[in-house]
Amino acid sequence: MHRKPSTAAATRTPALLTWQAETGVLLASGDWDARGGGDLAERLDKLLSIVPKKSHVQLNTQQVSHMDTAGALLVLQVRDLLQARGATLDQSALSDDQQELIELVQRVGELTPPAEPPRLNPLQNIGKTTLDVLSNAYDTLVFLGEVITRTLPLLLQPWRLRWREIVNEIQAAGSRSVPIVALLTFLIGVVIAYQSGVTMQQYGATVFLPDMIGIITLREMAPLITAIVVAGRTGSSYAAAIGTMKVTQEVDALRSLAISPIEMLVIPRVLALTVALPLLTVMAMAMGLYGGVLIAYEMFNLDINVALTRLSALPHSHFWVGIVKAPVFALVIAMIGCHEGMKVRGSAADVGRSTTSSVVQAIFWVILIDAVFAVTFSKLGL
Amino acid sequence: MNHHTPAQDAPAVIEVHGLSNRFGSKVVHENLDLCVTKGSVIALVGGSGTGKTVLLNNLVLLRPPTTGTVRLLGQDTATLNLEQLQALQLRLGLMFQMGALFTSLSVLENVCLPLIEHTDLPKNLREELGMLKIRLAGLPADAAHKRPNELSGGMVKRAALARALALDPEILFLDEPTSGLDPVGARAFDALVNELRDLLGITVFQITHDLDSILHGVDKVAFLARKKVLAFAPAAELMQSKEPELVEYFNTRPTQE
Repeated sequence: MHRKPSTAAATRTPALLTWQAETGVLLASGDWDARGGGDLAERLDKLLSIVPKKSHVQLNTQQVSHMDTAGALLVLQVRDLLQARGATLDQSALSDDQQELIELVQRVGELTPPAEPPRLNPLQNIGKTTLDVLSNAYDTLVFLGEVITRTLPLLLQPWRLRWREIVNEIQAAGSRSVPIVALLTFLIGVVIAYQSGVTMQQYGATVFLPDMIGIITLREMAPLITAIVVAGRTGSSYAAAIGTMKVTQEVDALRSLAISPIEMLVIPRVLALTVALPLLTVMAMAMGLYGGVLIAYEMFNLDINVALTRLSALPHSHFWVGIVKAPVFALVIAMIGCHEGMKVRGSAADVGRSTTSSVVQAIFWVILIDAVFAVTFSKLGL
Repeated sequence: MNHHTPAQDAPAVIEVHGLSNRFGSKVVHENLDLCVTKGSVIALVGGSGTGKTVLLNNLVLLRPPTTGTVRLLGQDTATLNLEQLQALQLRLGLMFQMGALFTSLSVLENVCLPLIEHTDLPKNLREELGMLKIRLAGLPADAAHKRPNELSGGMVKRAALARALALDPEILFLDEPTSGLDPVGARAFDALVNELRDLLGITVFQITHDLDSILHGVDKVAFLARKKVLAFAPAAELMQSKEPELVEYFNTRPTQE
């Protein structure tokens, strides 16, 4: 496991140590420093094994071009290795500077790093994980409670809401997501129509294509795709923005100014997304239907009037089943994003972790809730 | 401890000639000259907005000046290629004002990072060297496995110093090393820097606002004003100066004497 040192190390003359048996001298040369000493340090053990036991060895460093603390450590290692063989090292020929450096290193004393804190055994690990999960769940409940108890009174006194922040967030989360959501749902409408159209054509059933596109798009595809795109785009940005504010102590600054971070940072985002996501979903539905009907008309020669008639004959419940999910998804995405942001403690790496976690969690919950909705609606016969 | 003032004929390690820094139409430095000899401890002083940090960034090769030459350790930085610049950078140590420790690494890993990247020392020697720098910087051994967010402000400064010392730099740049430290800790830090200078023969160049450091902790003070180094002399001399900026700087601050 030998890593290649950086190119900058190539400019050093490697440190060398040669044993002159006839005079009993260890002759050092080269750069005895951090960048020149690596090779010698690896071979030191082997090199000194040729020095006879119980001998008196003189260290000659006249040809050493540069010595730093790493070099001084090396000299001490040479001494220790020789001592282990019963030999003694005479360092009197070292220059004053070198002596001082070695003294400095010796003065510091014990240099072996303290043992790392012991790792947890499996049982402790299970315990710790359980406690973590529980305290996480508790934190989530506290956060949820705080947001709800602060939002409800505000909703009864809407003039106290921070409308400017809300409007800004609606713009950031809503209007700026329009192009990507529109394009994706259009393309998925195209793909669904095309894939199912081929099969339906074999049975001569392409006339049912608009029904199928309508039901899939309105009930499932548009709300789900929109929520997933928004979770990746907006939920993550909430986590990153609030997380960074935690790292730079901006959240603490808000608290110290008696401004609730929940009221200032979380509630506007949650409300904004609850407004923006249903609007985006409606647009996504339109784009999905457009993509699907376009394919039915272009590829499967379905008369446009027939297609539109069949679409408008669909029960309205399909639209309502789809749209009612959007505000729920919005709440989940915004709350997870904000909560992950507020969970950041101190370090830059935490922000990255929280951002990733917010997206994964948001998408997980969106799909899970969608499944719950699907089962509930089918039981209700909607 | 032998507190030797550097000899007059010591070689220059930092030579700045005709340096200018401009940001758009805003001129921060104009025709600035500075020459620092080996083994001295220098304080860079000046009011807010006089471009102390910009000058420091010029010197540590993080930002090239708009015009002018910077010679470090005898090499003209403008003529060096990337490899030579990197090699030169390894001979400089920089301690950031806020520490800039890598939060995902422990203190020992922070100090060992330059050793891992730029040397091929075996792991045990690397760790001993890392511990040596941690202890030299005045941290207890049990701080080695702590994360930066578990350290107090003073310990962060010391850990940052330990990382700056990792490769035994020839010039050590410190950005406000004593800011945020209590007076006792600040004096101890000054003493430590001077001791390291004496023991390792390094040149120390620090930005500071700490009047006690300026008066007692350094050999010479470079005073930035009017877009250049207005004065470069021991603090005692600067206090006698009649230049309005210097009078203002030294007289509006409460001294403890």
